[in-house]
Amino acid sequence: MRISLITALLCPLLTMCQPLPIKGKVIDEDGTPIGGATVLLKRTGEIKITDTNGTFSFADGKPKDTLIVTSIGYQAREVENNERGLVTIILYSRSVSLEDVMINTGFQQMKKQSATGSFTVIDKKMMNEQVGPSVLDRLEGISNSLLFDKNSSRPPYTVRGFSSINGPKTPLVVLDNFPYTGNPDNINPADIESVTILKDAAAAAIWGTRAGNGVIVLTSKKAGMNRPLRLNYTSTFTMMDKPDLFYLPQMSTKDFINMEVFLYEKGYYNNQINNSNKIGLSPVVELLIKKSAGQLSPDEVDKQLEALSTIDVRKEFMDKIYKPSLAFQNAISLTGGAANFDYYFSAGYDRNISSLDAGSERWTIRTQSSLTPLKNLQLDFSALVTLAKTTTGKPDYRNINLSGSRKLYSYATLFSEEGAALPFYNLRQPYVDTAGGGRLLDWKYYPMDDYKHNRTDGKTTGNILNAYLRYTILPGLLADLSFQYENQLANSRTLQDIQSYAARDLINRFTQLNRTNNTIKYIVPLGGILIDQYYKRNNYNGKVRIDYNHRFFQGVLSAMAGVELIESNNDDNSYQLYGYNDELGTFANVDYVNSYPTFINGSNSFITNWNSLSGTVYRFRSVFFNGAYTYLNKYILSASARKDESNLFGVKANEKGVPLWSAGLAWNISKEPWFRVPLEYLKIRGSYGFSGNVDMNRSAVTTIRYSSSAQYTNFPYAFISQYPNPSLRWEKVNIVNLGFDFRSRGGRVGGSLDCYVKKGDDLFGLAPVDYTGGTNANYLVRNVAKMKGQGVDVEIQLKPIYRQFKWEQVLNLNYNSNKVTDYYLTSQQGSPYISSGSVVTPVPGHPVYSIISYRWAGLEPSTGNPQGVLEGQISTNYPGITGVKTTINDLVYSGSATPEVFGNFYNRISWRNWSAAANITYKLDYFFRRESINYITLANNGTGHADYYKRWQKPGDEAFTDIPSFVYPFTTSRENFFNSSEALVTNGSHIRLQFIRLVYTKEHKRNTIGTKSVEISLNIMNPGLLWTANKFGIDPDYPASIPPSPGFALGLQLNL
Amino acid sequence: MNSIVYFFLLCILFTSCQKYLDKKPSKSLVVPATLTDLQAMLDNNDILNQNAPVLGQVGTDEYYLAEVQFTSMQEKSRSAYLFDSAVFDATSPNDWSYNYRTILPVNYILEKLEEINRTPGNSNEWENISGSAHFYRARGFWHAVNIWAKAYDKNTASNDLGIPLRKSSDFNERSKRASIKESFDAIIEDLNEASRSLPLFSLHPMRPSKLAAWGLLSRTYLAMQIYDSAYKYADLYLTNYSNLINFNSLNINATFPFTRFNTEVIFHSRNTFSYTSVHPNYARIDSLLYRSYADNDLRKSAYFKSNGDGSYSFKGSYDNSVSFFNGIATDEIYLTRAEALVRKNRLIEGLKDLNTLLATRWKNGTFKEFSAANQAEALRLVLDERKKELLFRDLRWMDIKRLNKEGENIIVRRRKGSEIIELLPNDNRYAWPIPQDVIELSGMKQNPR
Repeated sequence: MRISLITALLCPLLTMCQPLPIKGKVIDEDGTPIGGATVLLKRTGEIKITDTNGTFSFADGKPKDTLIVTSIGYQAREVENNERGLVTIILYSRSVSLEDVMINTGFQQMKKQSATGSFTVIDKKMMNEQVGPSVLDRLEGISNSLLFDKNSSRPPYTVRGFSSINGPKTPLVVLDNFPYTGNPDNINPADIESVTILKDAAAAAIWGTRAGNGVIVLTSKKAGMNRPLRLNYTSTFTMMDKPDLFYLPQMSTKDFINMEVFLYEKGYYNNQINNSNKIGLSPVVELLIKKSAGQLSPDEVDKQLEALSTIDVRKEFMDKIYKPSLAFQNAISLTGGAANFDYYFSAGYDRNISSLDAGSERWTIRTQSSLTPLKNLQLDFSALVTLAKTTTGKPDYRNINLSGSRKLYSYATLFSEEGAALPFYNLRQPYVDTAGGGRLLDWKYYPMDDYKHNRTDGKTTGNILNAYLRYTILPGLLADLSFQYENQLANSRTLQDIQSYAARDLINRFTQLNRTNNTIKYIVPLGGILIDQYYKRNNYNGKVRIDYNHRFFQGVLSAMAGVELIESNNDDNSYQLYGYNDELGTFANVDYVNSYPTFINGSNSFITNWNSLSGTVYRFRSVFFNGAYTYLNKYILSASARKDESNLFGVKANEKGVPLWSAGLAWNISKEPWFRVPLEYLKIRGSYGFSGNVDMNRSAVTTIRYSSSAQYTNFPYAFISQYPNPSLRWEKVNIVNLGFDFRSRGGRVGGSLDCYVKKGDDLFGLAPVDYTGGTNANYLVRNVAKMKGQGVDVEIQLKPIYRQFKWEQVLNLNYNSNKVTDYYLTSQQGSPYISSGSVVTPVPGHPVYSIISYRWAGLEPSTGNPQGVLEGQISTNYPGITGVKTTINDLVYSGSATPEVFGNFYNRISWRNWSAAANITYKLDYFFRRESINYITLANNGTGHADYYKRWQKPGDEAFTDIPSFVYPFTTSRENFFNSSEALVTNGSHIRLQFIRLVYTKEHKRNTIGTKSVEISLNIMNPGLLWTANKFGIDPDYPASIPPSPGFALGLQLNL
Repeated sequence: MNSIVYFFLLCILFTSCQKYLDKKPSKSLVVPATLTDLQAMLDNNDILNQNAPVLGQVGTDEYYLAEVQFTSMQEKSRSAYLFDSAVFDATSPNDWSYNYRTILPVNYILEKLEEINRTPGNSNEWENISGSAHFYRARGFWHAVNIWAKAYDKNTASNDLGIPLRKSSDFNERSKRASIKESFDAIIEDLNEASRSLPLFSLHPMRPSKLAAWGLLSRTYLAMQIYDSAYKYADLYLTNYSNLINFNSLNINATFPFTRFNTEVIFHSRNTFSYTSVHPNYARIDSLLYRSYADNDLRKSAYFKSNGDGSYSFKGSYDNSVSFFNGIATDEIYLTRAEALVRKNRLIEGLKDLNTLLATRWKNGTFKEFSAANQAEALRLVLDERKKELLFRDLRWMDIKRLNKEGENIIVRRRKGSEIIELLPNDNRYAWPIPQDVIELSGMKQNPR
C-alpha cells in the first residue's frame, strides 16, 4: 500500500515510469489483419487477443516494451513497440519455414535447422490429402525421393533408388522409437502426426545395417501438458468403380475357337486326349472329339461353335460378378493434459468391401500418456492394439484356372438363365460324366458357387506396449530407458467344405470302389478340409541411452550414446484336418504313412500332409553414438557411429558385426552478418557416411535343414539349405550428400536441393557356378559386385498468391540413376541377362533393373518369321540366337526399368472456407516390355493377346508390323526370342493426375487454445493419365494387370 | 556419482550378453555333426533316388514318336529325340545338374564322417552311412558315364574322355574329365567299399544295401564287357536273394500293374522327365518289339496299353506310375548272370536262369523251356529276352553301346518327316553333349557330335 503510494507519487516525475498506451495491429505478410492472435506484454504478463481487424491495445505500456505475438499457423515473433507506443506486427506463415520443421529420427527430435543430413518431412496435413487405410500408401506421389513401384517383382517402395543388388532394398520402417516389423497396414493413419524420411548416411549410422536403404519414421500423435480436453472425429466413405476387364487386349472368342479347331486338326491335343490322368479339355475340343467319333454331326458341332463364338465371358463378369468397391473409415481421438500428466486415446474402425465381395475390417486402439511424478523424472506409456480380419470373396476373372494351369476360356458362361452356377470340367467331361457310375461325389467344378464353400478367413491381432523413462541426473545429463514389446498373431483359416471342389476332388481321387460287392471305401474321409495356419511373432526391444547437452565456447554440444538389444521370435505352424465338419467341430484321422491307389489311373499316391512347424530367433545387439556441436548458431558439426552385431549363423564371432559411421557439416550462411542476398534463410550442408547390409539367411558353413518325413519311407530327412561361403562379408555402402535449404524473405519461396552419390562395394551378387560341383543352382551368392547410384532431390514450396485467396504449390523433382560398376561375370552368354525389369540384371555399366533384349531385325518378308542377329548376321536360327553364341555384348540395353526422373507437382487454392487441391505425379525416363502374342501360351492357356490381329499374314505386312506370323508346329525358342526382343520395348514415361481434393472448413476460434472446426472433403481418386509416351493405351504402371479404377471419397472431420 | 553407476550398468550389459548372439536363428537349421544328421541327409530320397537323368532312355530304340506327338513337343525334347546338338539346356536344372547334385551331399557326408569316431556302439550306423554314401556316388558316376561318355573299350578306355569325378564337397574345385577307365575304376572302387560296409538288406528299398551294391557292380562289369566279374556279383546277389514276381498273380490289365517296392525291387530309384519325348504319353512302342512278345507272354499285357490306333504305350514301370523305374531289381540280375554264363560258354546254367525268369512271365502252364544248340543261339535268346524284359529301365542305352562293341550292329533310327536319321554303332553321339554353360565355366572338352 505504501509502496504503491510512493510509486504513484514518483511516477509523474520519471518519464520512464510513465504509462504509455500501446496500440498495435497484427497482419500477415500480405497485409491482411490477423484476428484472434495472442499478444503478450512480456514485462507484466498481460495477454490481449486481437479483434477481427487485427488490433489490440495495452493501457499501461512503456516505450520499448517487448511484445510476444503468437497465432495458430504463424511463426511467433518478439517485437518492441516504438517510443510512441505504436506497433505493426507482421507474422509470417508457419508452413513455409522449412527450417522449423521438427525432424524425428526415432532417436531424437530436432529442428531441421540444426541437422546436417538429408530429411524429408511429411506432416499430417499433407498425409491426409489422400484417403486410404494404409499409412505408407498415403505417402505415394507426395513424398520427395520416395518412389512407389507397382511391379510386384521389384521392391514396392524405395528411397533414393537402390544401394544393393541382391540384398534387401526396401527402407526400414520405424514407429516412434523402434523399428516396426509388423504389417504397416495395421497402423491407423489417423494416429500419425508426421512422417520423416531419412535419406542419407546419417540414417544408417543412426539405425544401423537395416537402414542402408533409408528409413521411414512414423511419429504418433501425442498430447501435451496443460491442454484442455480435445475431441477429434474423422469419417471417410470411399467408393471405387468396377475394374475394367477390357483393359487388357484379347483375341476375340471367334478367333480363339478357330485356333482350337486348327490345333485339334493338327493333333495338338492327342496326347492330352490319351492322357491317363484324364486332364480336362476345353468344351470346343470336346465337341471336336465328339464330331470325330461320330457322336455329333458336323452341322450340329458347327452350330454349337457358332453359338460359343458370340460369347465374351468378361461381359458376364462385369454384369454379374464385379461391383463397385466400398470402404468406410472412422477414427475418434481424445487428448488432454494436466500439470504433470497428459493422455491421448484413440479408436479406429475401418471396413472394406472389394469389388469381388472380399471383406476386410480393422479395429485399432491406441493410448499414450506421460507422467512427471518427480521434477526430473518423466515416464511415458503407450499401447497399440490392432485387430484385423479378412474374408475371401468371389473369384477374380484372371484367377480361375481350369485343369491346373489353363485360364478360363473366353466362351465360358458362368450362370444359367435361372441364375444357377454352371459346371466346368477340370477332368475330361466324358470321364467325369461316367466315372464311378454315379457312386462318386459330383466331380464337376462350379466356380461361381465354389467360393461360398472354399473360404479363407484371416485374422491378425497385434499389440505393441511401450514404456519410456527419462531421468535428469544432472543439468544437461539425462538417462533414457525405453522398452518395447511387440506381438503379433496371424491366423489364416481355410475351410473347404464337402461341397467345395477341392474336397470333392480329393475324396474322389482316393475313393476305392469295389465293383464286385458294390462297397465304397473312402481313404480321404467324407467331409470338409480345414487348413489352419498360424504365424506368431514376439519382439523385444530395449534401449539404454545417456544424453549429454552442454554449452561451452559459445556453442552447444549435444551427444548421446547407448546400447540397443533386439530379439525377434517368429513361429509358424500349420495343420490340416480331413473329414472336417465345421458345425460340430469333428474331424477324422487319415493315413499319411501309406500310399493308396488313386481312382483315375490306379497310380499310388499319398494324402498330402501339410502339418508343419518352424521357428526363427534373430538377435541384434548395437552400440551407438551420436553427437553434434553447434558453434555460434551457425556452424554445425555432427558425427555418429554404430556397431551392429547379430546371431548370424555359422560365422566367427568377430565377423558378426560391422561398424558404421557418418559425419556431417552445416553452415547457416544467412546468420552471417555479411549475408545480403534476398534470402531470409540459407543453409548449406554435407554429410558422408558408411553403411552396410547383411542377409541373415546366409552362412559361412554348410547348413542342413530338417524336414519331418521323407516321401515313401517316413524317415526324417535333411537337405543342404546353405552351401558354405567362408569368404562371405557384409555389403558396404558409402553415401555422400551435399545440399542446401533456403527461404526467400517473406517466405514466398522455399525449398531444398540435395545431390548424392552412393557407392556399393562387396555387394552380394549371383556368381555363375559350375554345377558339376553339385550345387544344383547355376548361380551362388557371393560378394562380387559393385554399384554406383547418384541423384538429385529438389523440393520447392511456392506461394504465388497468399492473401485471402491463397495459392500454394509444392514441386518435388527427383533424379536417380544407378548402375552396376563391376560384376564378376565368368560367362559371356547373353541369354541369362535378358530382362523385362522383373529381375536384377548385373551387367556392368547398366542399371540394376534394366530392360535387356535380343537385337531385332524385323520380320522375314517371305515368311513373317521374327529375325534376330547371330554373329553379326541377320538370322532366324532361334536356338542359336537364344544360345551361347549371343554374348552380353550382342544384346540391346534400352535403359532403366525404374523411372530415373520422378516427382509430383501439387497445387492448392483456398478462399475463405473453401479449398481445392490437385496432385500431378510423373515418372520419366524408363522402359518396360509390353505384352504381346505368344503362340504357345495362346495354345496352352486359353487366352491370347490382341496383337494376334497385327500378325504378319502375307508378304508386305512386314512393312507395318512386328508381330510374327502364326506357324505350327510351335518353336519355343522362336516365341522366346520374339517376346524377349527389342521389338516390344516401350517407353514408360507418363504423367498422371493422381488426385483432386475439395475441402470445406468451418472454424470457430477459441482463444489461445485452438479452434473448433468442421471439415467436409471430397476426393477424386485415380482420375487418370494425362500423358503417356507409349501409344498403345497401356498404363505403364500396369503393363500386364488391370489398373485401379477411378473412385471418390467423402470425408468428415470434427474438432471439438 | 550417478553417472558412474550407469556406466557400470552398461559394462555389465556388454559382457553378460556375449552368449546372447550365439543363439541359433532357426530351429531346423543345423550344422551337420552327428551320425543322425548324416543319415537324415542320405534319406533325402527326393534328390537322391527320384530324379535320375533321363537322357539314357531318350536315345534308345525302344520307342518312336509319331508326327503329331513330335510336333506338339517342346523344342529341346524334339532335338534330343533326333540326336540334334542344336538345342540343349544351357541352364540348370537339367540332367547334368540332377545327376551331380546327388554327389555333393555324399562327398560332404564322407568328409564329415571322418570327423566322427567309429565306436563299437555306433559302428553299424557308421558303416551304413559310409556304404550308402559310396553307393550313391558310384551310382551318380554310373549315370554320368552312361550318358556323357562313349562305350567302354578296353583298348582305348585310358584315352577316351570320361566324366568329371567329383570326390570333394568343395564345389569351387575346377571340373576336369577323367578317362573312361578312371571313371569306371572310380565306380568300382566306390561299389567295393559300399558292398563291404552295407548290410545285406536295407530297412527300405529307398536305402542302399549290399545286394544293391552287388547288383550295380554286376551291371558295371557288364558295361565293361568283363563277364567273369559280372557273373561273380550277379551270382553273389542271387545266392542271397532270388525272389521273382509271378505275373500270374498280377492284375495285368490295371493302369499300372506293378506295385512300387515289389518283391523284385532291391533298390528303388526313378528318373525325372527333363526331356518328354520318352514320356509314355508321347512315346510309342516300336511295333517289331511289341510283336516279339508271344501271346501267352503276360508281359504283352502287363507292359503295354493300346492307344486304340494300333499303337502301344508303356505302362509296366516298377514305380507304379508313368515314371521309369531305374533301380536294382532281381529280374535284371537273372538276365545278367544268364548272359555272363552263356558268354563263358556255360550254356545249360545260363539257359536255366533264363527259363527260371521266364516261367514267371508266362501264363501258367504255357511256358516251354528255351533251349539252344550253340553259344550263339543261346546268346541270341538271352539278349532278345533282356530287351523284352528290361524295357524302359535305363539299361537299353548301355546295352546298345556295349553290344555294338561286341559287334551286334544295333542302329537307332529316327524319322523326321521323310528324312531318316541313323545312329550307327559307336557313333560320337553315343556320348550326349555336356551343357554348354558347364563347358564354358569349367573349360572341359565337349563331346564331339
